Amino acid sequence: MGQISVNRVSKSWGSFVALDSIDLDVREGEFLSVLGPSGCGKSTLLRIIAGLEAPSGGEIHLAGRNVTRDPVWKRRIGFVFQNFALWPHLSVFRNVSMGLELRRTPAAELRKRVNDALAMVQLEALADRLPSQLSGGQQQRVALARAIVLKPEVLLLDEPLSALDKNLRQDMQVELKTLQQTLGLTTVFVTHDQEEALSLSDRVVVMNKGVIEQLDTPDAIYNRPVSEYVARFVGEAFFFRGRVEERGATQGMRLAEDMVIPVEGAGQRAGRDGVAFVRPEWVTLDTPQPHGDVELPRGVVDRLMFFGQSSDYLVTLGNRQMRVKRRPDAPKFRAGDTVILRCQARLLPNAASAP
Amino acid sequence: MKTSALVLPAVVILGAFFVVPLIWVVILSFLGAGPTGEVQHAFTLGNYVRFLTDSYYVNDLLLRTIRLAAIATVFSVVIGYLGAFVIARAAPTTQTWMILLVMLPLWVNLVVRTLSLMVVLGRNGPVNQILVGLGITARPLPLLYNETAVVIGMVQVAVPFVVLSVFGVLQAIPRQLEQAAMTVGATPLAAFRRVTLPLSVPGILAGSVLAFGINVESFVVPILLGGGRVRFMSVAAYETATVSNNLPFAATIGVILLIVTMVMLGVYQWAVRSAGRPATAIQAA
Repeated sequence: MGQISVNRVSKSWGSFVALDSIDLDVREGEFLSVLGPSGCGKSTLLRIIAGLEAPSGGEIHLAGRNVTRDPVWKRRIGFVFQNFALWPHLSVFRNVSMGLELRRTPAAELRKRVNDALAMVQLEALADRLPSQLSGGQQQRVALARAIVLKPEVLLLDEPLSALDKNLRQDMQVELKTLQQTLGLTTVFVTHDQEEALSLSDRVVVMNKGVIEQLDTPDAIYNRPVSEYVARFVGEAFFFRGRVEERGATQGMRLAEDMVIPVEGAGQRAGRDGVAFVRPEWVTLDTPQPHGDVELPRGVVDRLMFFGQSSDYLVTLGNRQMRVKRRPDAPKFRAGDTVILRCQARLLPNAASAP
Repeated sequence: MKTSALVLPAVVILGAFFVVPLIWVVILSFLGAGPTGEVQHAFTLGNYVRFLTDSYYVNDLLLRTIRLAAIATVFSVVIGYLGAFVIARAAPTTQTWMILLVMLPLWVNLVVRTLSLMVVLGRNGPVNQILVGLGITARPLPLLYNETAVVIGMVQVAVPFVVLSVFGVLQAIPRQLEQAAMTVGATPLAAFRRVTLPLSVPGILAGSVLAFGINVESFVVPILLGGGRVRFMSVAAYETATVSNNLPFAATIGVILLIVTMVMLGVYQWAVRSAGRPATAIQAA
């Protein structure tokens, strides 16, 4: 059993099912992200783990203890709210110290632990300020210090970075990860930002409408998604539908009479219909040769979008548009050029559900 | 130019109906009265000297008025806070109805309300019937024509105002602040005491000032529920003006009452400024 063990947990409000029999084990010291669009139940799951919400069914174990019936104040958790929820009438120091005050910690130990926690988030100098006198990033740090000062069994973060602007968010991601690793805290991090989830986590849970769609390492989630939903939600994906056929040692997918795209993926499924996808950086554009590659898909370059560190081609394929990362070493194309697509698309395992 | 022209009607109306009468009352309080009640146009401090040197006026009238108003204010604030808290935690649709219920008495004439309270508190009223019926007291308690009755009446008048001012403040405090306290180990009671209560102090202050201001100037309540036995400032001013026909001395009582209210407002301003930091912090957060 993991540090956090979620056992067939359900939650419904009336006929609305927010969570449908969720099973989840978080290992000790692990950083686990729960990723999904708003309304998928990810925040509800976190609040149930914290005890801020009661499950309609199922059990929660924290550090081996069944805490399903324990109210939030008896669970040894650290929780960071999306909008920080700092107490506006208390100084930074008192915001961090309240949990220790409630545990009747001796004054000297209290002062030391609060100062240590504030030092860990580089806020010792601002201990006497009120939250309203702090910037968003500093408030975030106070919320973090408040959560870690109690040495919780688990750290639960509810979209803690979404209220910050982009640059600050990236800095805080690094700090958060460093802090988590230093303290070895078992962490559940709820977010709708896929980049954040992939870059920070040991494992990622992708949720959809109250169920876990996939639970895996960031690499597997990105490169071997189990469904169209996951592929689409975690990064950009362009889908192909067609019949899988054997082509010697490799597999291909016939998209139309004269168009076949090489595919790879789990299992032998020659002769069956399937769905495959590519990511923008998996595709290389090439100039069509008069004789070779007759069956590779062709597209027309719409335009080149420049982002500074990289640039994308927008390519029209039939009546659809796809995004392709430009490779610096590849020839440069202009709008209107016809190109062929060199890539290996990945078959999705549950092709049966594909339309 | 244009703005000043726009506010001119308001200035004229306020001046004619509030400022001028007030100035006249203050002037009147420094004039003497003849034996038949005619106002004598000569400056004198006699009215104030008479009031402040007579222990009947100071202890039995002024201090009693302040004391009863203060006691009623404490009860009003406690009851009003509880009411506001219950309403603030109710479901939104229930909330609307509860607020309506709180405001309902304000649309009923005060005399009618107070008279119905007399029925409730009377010797054979429901309160006494319940108390006797449950065996809590052997015989009906005297709940009318004494200070208790006046305090109960004033609480009844002031509670809705406290509820409304506290409710506004409680509504503005995010529930997450209490939840955050519970995540660090606070029981719901501790979370309330450490977070919600201190953050609602501005509402408590506003409610108390409102309640005290209304109570200290009570007129209908002490007349009806006090039954003439409980002396009260505004009643005394009325009787001095009408029965004794001594307008200057009635004006003096009025001015002293006004000063008490002003001092209270001053204390309130000071208290709000001291407690103001968390209040503004909520708005900023």
